[in-house]
Amino acid sequence: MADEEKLLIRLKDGQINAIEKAIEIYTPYIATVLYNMVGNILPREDIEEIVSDVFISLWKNAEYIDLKKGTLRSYLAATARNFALKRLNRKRDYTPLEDVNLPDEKSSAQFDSYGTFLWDAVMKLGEPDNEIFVRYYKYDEKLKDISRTMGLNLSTVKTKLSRGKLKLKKILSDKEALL
Amino acid sequence: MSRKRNLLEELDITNHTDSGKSPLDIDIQKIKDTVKKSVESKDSERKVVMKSKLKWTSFIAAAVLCVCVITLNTVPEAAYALSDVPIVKNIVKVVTFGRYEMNENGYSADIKTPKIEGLLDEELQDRLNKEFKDNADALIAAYENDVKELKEEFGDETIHMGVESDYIVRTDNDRILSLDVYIFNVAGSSSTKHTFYNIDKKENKLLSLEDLFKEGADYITPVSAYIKERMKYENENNDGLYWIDDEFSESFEEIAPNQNFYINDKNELVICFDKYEVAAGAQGCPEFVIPKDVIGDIYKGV
Repeated sequence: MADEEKLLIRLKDGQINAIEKAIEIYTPYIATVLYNMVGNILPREDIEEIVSDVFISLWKNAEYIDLKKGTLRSYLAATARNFALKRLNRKRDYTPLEDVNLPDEKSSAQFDSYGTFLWDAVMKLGEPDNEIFVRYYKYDEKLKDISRTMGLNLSTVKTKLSRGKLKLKKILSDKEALL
Repeated sequence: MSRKRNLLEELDITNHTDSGKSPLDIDIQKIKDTVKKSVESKDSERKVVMKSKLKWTSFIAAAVLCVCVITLNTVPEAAYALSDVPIVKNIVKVVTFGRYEMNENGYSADIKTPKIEGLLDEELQDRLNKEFKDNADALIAAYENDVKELKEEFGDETIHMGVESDYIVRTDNDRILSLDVYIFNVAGSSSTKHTFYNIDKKENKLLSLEDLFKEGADYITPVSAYIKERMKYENENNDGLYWIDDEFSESFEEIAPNQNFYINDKNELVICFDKYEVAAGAQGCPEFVIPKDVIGDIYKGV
């Protein structure tokens, strides 16, 4: 049986170390989802709060989650998007419209380093490649763990990393040329 | 945050650095602390569940201790002789002695107390019956106390908390009476605690797991090895949910010297586990029939 099911059963049973395990496993994924959606609009502190809210919600609602209706990953992604939307709406309520950066108006210089450039480029690799990069380079996860958590073959993970790097080089050199 | 891997370096981009402060750099420990603080706080909806569960667990632990203090009975000579007379063989029976029921605003209890009749060794019989009654009384007292405390804390709010205790006769033949007394708790999720009583009608004694084996024999190792093998097989072939070689949970290592068991009609040993003891809750209370060839040399049976 899948690890996801086992974890959910332990969550339903109210085991506190199960929620810790869920946080370890799914934070990089939720961070990737949120970065794609609001990474250039909301500061990191807001995103951290959303991630916490997602897991608190998972703990409270574990009893009602039915894996026949969808994976735990998809449930968490949907919850994260909902919380992010709420946060955006709340922000818009008392921020003058011209101060809000909508996703299509994003400027790469918004963050404090070249890192934004780089990670925006990583996001362009699409799923699941971007998550592999986030897990490997941002969270220092082992290739074996990435393959297990994401349900991919180890060789697939390796291939995606090496091909992704080639693509990134191209994207970044094109971008440098524009500047 | 210091990292072993640096994507920029690997891409041969050396004139820039990644600050590590992007929204992708979530501090996992910080999330854990925030979430734990929130779920453990008073307003968390799961609180009720955790609280009552803890209490039941400690109560059950106390009940288990009670069971352990029963000492094995030596059989009086006269009783032993009488037991060979055919007419007394099957008069040992189990009846429901008492029943406590309650159902109110989400709280529910249904506690049945068994009573054994017809054992030749009346001293053993009285002791067992007293234990059944004492356990039921303690269960009722603990339940009433929990209800009282939850009502004080939550007033008229509907709290789903319940306890059910009943018994099942697993085996009843000429030789063996195996009685399974269980406590089923519902507090958010459910848990079940079984206590097995295996009575050798001929010898008029309560059997321990050790009694089934030759004196001093190591039965834990072969029985545990067989169970582990079965668990692995079930996990791989039949959607088993056993916690074995699993990074998320503590793996099953070996049975306890006084592990729950009963003897089935074929005089085979059946090892039993409580819910959550060795597997996910959905697996229920797992049982393993131990084939005689696994323990052939050391198994005496009855």
